[in-house]
Amino acid sequence: MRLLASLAVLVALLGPGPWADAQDRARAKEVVVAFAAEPRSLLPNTIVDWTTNNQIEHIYDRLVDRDAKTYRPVPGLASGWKVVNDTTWEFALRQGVKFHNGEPFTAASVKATMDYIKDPANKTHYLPRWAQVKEVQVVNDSTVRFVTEKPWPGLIDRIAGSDFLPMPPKALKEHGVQALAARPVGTGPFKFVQWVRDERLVVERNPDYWQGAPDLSRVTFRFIPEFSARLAALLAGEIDIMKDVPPHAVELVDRSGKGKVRSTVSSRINYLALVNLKPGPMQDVRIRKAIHHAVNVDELIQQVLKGRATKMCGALSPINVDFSPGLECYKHDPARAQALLKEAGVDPARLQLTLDTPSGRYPLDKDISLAIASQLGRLGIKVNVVVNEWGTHLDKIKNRTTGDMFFLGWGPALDAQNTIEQLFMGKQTYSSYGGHRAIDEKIAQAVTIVDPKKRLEAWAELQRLVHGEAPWVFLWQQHDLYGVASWIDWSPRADEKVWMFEAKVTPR
Amino acid sequence: MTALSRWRRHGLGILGLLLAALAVAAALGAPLLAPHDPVASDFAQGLKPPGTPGHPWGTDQLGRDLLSRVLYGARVALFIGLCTVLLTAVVGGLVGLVAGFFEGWTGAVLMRLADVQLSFPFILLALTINAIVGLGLRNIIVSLAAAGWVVYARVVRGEVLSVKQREYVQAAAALGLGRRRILFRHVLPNVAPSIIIVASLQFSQFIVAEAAISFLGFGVQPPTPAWGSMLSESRDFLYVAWWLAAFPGAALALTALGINLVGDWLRDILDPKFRV
Repeated sequence: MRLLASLAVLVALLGPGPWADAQDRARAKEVVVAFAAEPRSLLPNTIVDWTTNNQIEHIYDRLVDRDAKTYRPVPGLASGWKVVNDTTWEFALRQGVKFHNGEPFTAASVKATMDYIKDPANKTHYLPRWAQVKEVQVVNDSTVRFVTEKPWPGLIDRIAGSDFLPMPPKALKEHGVQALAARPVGTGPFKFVQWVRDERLVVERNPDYWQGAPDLSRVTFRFIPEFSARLAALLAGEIDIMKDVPPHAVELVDRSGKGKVRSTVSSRINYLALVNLKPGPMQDVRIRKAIHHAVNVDELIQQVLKGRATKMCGALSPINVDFSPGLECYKHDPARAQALLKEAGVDPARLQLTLDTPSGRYPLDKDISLAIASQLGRLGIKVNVVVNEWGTHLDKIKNRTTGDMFFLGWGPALDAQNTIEQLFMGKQTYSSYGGHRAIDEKIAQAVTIVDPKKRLEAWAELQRLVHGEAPWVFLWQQHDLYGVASWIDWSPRADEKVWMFEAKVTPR
Repeated sequence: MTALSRWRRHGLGILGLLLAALAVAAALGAPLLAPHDPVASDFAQGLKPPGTPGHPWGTDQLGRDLLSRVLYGARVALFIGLCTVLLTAVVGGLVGLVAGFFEGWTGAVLMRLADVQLSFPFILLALTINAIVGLGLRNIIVSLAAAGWVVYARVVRGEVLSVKQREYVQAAAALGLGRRRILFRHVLPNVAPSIIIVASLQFSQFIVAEAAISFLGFGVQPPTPAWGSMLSESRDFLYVAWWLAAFPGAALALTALGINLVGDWLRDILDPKFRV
């Protein structure tokens, strides 16, 4: 029954829909982008969710952006910044920028935005992420200061991204949060037009954008949860840009004449967590190492992902600004794995493990998990793979009710604090590993070191420590594969920002 | 009897028997017939089309042999179908017998319970129960059975109500036989045909329901080959590997069709006037 229903959906997608023909769209410079989900809210600074922010950031600007090539912080609505003292950052604000409702962008907007985040009534996910900021001080109309409780050198990495999108203070005050949620007002390259629940979000060109008007006149985001359905829509010319083309379908898209696959090595990392936060065999570092030696990462990349991933040997990828090179990979070595298990007093033939995996959230996630189970099976270890719906998977991780292992992706992972502090301290939401005294202490120390060189050294030492503990099977950086219609000139970014301001229609 | 009506009466039934026999043969003979271990993956052999040497029906994304997986899938499907049908027939049958024979508050309570349950769609109920009891082969049987016993109870109760008015039951009662003896020696054999017919029709419904639940990611968990989860996995590869959907889908459809035809046939043979 359900199969019939999804086939019907597929057929409906293949057939002519109410969407303008691709040629008409190209002429009118209108682009349709398909995401897997709709935004969970149109309020900025509220929901930590990649899909939500990607859509919101067409309407709202970042205070500090990242360079599309180097991923270092670069000016956004803030034209510059400096460190005043250990606990104070000063930001100079761009002048002459206006919100879509005509309100000018000033220091008051920055303060109002922080006040919004800090108000517990707004229940934003960003409240704990800004807990270290004591207050935002307005120096003058175009200067603000962020004052932190303790020295926080990582503030610039936190602010350079979706964590701080200035909101219009007057609209917020006069019409309230709910009105802003229904009709977002930002400074971004596109203005809000319409949001049809479960169907589409439409934005149109902001001709007065401070970086210059975008080339596209209109962008429509459509929500298509299954990537097979997105692929069908792309091949039918109904959508123009989609994320996560499956590796085995790359050739199909390239040969279709409708579009090409553009790929980038993503900052998003994939890993297999070996959970030590609950009783079980993963408490023993020897068993964790044995599992790591038993998994053949190269084989997974070559055979399952068709080479569409870049192997990692530690917790951070080379894209990460705090990356420390020189860690040795855990080699695929079944004999070593056997020896380690023997040392730990475990008979692989009697070892039963459970592996939790999402399905469809990351490229071929479920298939990777099944393949890992099968690789461990070669040693006689029996692995029970539990396939979870995405929300359930996250809940299980948060509630510590996963099996001995789980598969997860993490990103954009551009600095050490956002990865090492979030994932290797037992008290953190998404952590799978904890209870290591030295690691806990060193993290608490590293996040407050102001001197860049000393900070890098501290993170390098932590990377070595973490590596030695084998808290994960270190897997890879994803390659993000986007299907892009041939009449659009757009290149994907490693930080996963899908930003149509950077897209152009190529004349034919 | 004309040739056409004889074909109607027996031909489709025989076709059904053949299809069902095929499924049973696949299930029983899977270890002998399957060319490979259904869960052994060989990543280098992924997504090979049908006709590849060694893999007559091709392979899936992890290089597992599709023919072997479909054959072993028959085991899972028939095992679940059979267990569920037995469980529901016994439970539902007993409830129906009791409710029909002992009218009054016992019967009323049991039947209102059944009415409440009937007001929920079968698949939704089975899914909900499955979400509560958890994943796994045993639990999917339990949840399907818990959602499916009502049909038997209703049908059997109706039959019992009519059978117990018959003269031979009244005679048995007049002779002073115990109620239990009357119920199991005189009533049960006369309602047995309805139980068998309902069971044969429910059998295919349970197989399809199991596939639906596995398709949705509940039920039978990987790597155990089940048709429903194979179909679900095949969606991601529909554009490059049609065979991943075609073979398990055909196996599911033909098995369900076969068992349904047998059920219809049984109904006609056992009681031409009987209508479920």
